[in-house]
Amino acid sequence: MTASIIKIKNLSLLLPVPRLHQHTASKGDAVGGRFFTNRQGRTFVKSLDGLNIDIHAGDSIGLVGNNGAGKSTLLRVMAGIYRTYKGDCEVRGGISTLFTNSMGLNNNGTGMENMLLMGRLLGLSNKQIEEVLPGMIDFCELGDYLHLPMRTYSAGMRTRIGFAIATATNPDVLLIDEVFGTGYVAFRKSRGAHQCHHR
Amino acid sequence: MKMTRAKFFQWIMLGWTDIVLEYRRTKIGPLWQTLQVIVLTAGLVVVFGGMRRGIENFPAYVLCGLILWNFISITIIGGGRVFNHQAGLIRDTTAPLELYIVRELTVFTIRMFFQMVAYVLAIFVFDVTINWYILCFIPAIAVYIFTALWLMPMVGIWITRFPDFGPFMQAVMRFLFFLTPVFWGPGGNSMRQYLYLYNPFTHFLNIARQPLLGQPPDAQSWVIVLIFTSLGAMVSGLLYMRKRDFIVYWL
Repeated sequence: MTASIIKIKNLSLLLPVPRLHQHTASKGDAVGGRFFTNRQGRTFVKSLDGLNIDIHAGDSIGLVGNNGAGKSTLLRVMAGIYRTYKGDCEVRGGISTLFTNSMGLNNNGTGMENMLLMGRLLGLSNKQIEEVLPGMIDFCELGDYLHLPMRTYSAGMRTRIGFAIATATNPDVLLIDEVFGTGYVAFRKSRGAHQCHHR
Repeated sequence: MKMTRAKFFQWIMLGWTDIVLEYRRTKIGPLWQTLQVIVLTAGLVVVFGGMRRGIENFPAYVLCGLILWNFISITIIGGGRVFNHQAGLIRDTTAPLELYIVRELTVFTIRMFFQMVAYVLAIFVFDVTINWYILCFIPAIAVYIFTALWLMPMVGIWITRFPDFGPFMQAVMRFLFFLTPVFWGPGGNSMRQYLYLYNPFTHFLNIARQPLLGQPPDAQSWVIVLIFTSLGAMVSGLLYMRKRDFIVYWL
């Protein structure tokens, strides 16, 4: 039995809905979390409520649920992007995210430049980038296209860059959201990382 | 995330890359910044040359005023947009929010340095007095950057939370451009004198413009600027600590 790498205990998250001060009762069959108005009259969406998850190293988990069930929200909590939750969320090790296939990539920059840019953004030093770059070039299989500006890329080629970046740091936890289709082949190639994704 | 010097350097490099990519498809690149400030100075000098009373070397005075004003104005207007501008990355990656502040501030600072090329040209063309006072420009710019570091997140939080602040601030800054002695000086009627003394931007301009024009630093301006920026930093720090985790929900 391996140690748990993600441990979530009794996790609840209220997402604030700014500029909506009136409580609108959603009908029972609507998708998404329930609305909730606190004593100060602020409205929230109850997006996660009393969640318990235990994920171990080596697990591959897929989240399945209706629209607005809170799949992406949960991933953002795990990634540390949403931090106002109640309860415990403990993630051990490095996290990498792949939530969209555009991900702040610069269209005037080449694929190569964007890989450097994102490496810096994700906190790698120049030396670390130098170490992982050959692996990234290998991984995305874009060859000479890496020296063309990203605006010439197809959606699938962009996804390959995104995957190369997300897996470059060899993260302990890889969180993937809705980038399937074109990225699927590349996804299957990624190994060694713990994957938590949803379709 | 642990903050190291190497990481901070990477954030600055991101700003530099933004400049490179912004001008990638142009021939003269960021020298457009230089040309733009020269053209605007020429326009102001031609139209408002009559307001030069008592100001030595009026073109250089206006040019330096404009370069500094451009920086102040972009840190407020552009700083206000910083979180919205980087919304995709903020929502989708684990990078800390401070990264985006440093990244955009680097872009604004590099733009200012390219505008300073016009100042270097002006030294020769308009025979600007250069003396040891110019060293005071270094602490002045340090104060500008420090001020931008707290001003950007503060205005950024306001505008992200209350989007009406965006166009409001743009209108205010355009108004303040005329109310601040960028292209006019003290003296004249009592209202202008009043605006000159009680506008904090006057003092920000003074501390950085005077050394560039070979004038001794103005102690009163320095004191006002230092008090203003220390108080502002405290207010901004408190606001940021309380609201930083909510910014992502407002995007």
